[in-house]
Amino acid sequence: MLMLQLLRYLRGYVKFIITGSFPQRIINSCKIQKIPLWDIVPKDKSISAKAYAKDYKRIKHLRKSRNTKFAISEKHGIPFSLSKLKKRYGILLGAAASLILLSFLTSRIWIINVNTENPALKTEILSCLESLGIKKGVKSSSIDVKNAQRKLMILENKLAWDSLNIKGCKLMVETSEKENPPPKEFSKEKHSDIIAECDGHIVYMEIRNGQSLCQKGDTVGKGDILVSGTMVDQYGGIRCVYSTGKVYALCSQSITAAVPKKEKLPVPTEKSFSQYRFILGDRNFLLSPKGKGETIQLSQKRIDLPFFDNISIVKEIMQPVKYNTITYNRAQMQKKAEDIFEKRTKELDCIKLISSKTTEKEDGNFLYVTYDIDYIKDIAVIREF
Amino acid sequence: MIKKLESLIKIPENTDFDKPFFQMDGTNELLLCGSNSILEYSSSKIKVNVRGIQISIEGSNLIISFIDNDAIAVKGNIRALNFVRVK
Repeated sequence: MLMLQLLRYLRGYVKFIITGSFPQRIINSCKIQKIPLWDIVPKDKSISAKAYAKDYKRIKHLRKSRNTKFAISEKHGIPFSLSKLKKRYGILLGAAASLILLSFLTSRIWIINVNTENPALKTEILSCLESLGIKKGVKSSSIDVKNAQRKLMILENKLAWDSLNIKGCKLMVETSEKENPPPKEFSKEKHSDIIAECDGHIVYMEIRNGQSLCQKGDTVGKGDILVSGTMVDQYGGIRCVYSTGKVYALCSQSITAAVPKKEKLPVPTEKSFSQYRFILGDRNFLLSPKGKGETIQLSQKRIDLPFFDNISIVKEIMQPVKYNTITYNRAQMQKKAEDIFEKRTKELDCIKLISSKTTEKEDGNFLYVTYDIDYIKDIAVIREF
Repeated sequence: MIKKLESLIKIPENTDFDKPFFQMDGTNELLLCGSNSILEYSSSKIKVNVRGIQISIEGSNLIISFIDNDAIAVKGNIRALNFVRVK
């Protein structure tokens, strides 16, 4: 029933009233001419009925006497609604243009979302996709997803698996990085020695390739060749190889942490607020009014516009602060020095800390804490030639 | 041949397509197939000529909800149907 009503509305229909001596004649004539009518309601000296707009013209020609009169009481349907817009060319053009623009924009990819925590890998994946012809503005129907997935795995050797999904105008790239990326293949044309990164006393050696020039227990200096890539074979011939291996040595180092006695620290004064920046290439423009007093940035979120690479909007969460001077006691300064020491030892890449000796010295506004440490480290560094 | 066809598509036997066919839905709707012309039409009585038979539909608030070259649908409170064979 609903479909029938919809069909009638789409075709357009009129409600008309037939007045005259024998209005039933018109209905019979419509029957013979195969003109469908509906909702025929008899009134005092008239009959009202509904017919399709196109059929109404034919009904009027069926009038056989001058007494029979027709009058349209209602008009319904899309043809009547559209006829009002006939002279409104702007609306019709705008509707047509918006439909064309919508179909064009929805058929293309405008956002490529790579799901990975490693920003360097994300950049590599995006450049790989671009080399495969997948970038912003490309038709989504032209992308062969399975082929692209396969080629991405081949091009990016660091991936354990990858998956490409197209959702509307977005291309979602899901990846998982291999935990142990494959070792770099060394070309047969490249040769290398292993030299010492720093002074040390060798405690362990594991040589995979090359000729070892020292052994466990030797003391070596920074830059000394530990494993040579030039080897002499059993026939006296010389051949060059790419040396690889590990050399663990006992090293010594002094780390000094300078801790100030007084420090200015920011203290929040009011609630944090958001401010927006518009970035155009190298320039940035503040869009919202700047906060009063001193502020520090708590977090930042960048929103890249889908059509332009150099334009983006940055949302910054700012915190108004006031700087207070804090004086540390000895225990607090020693704790800060220990934190600095731990951070520095992590940078040394030491495998095991053997011993540590601490000395303190006060000088002016600073406390200097020196740590003399002995530790074991892999001092092997590959030098190609 | 027609009997074989009837048995295939499961039409009731002895169905005569030359006679009028009507279907009632309670006492409020009537579908009449094979009608030729309307003889009388008011809200209390509708007289229709159907292949040599005059069918008079009596009731109240009668309206023709749909009319086609071969069918008439009547809605309203139908109280009686009278059949008169016309020579």
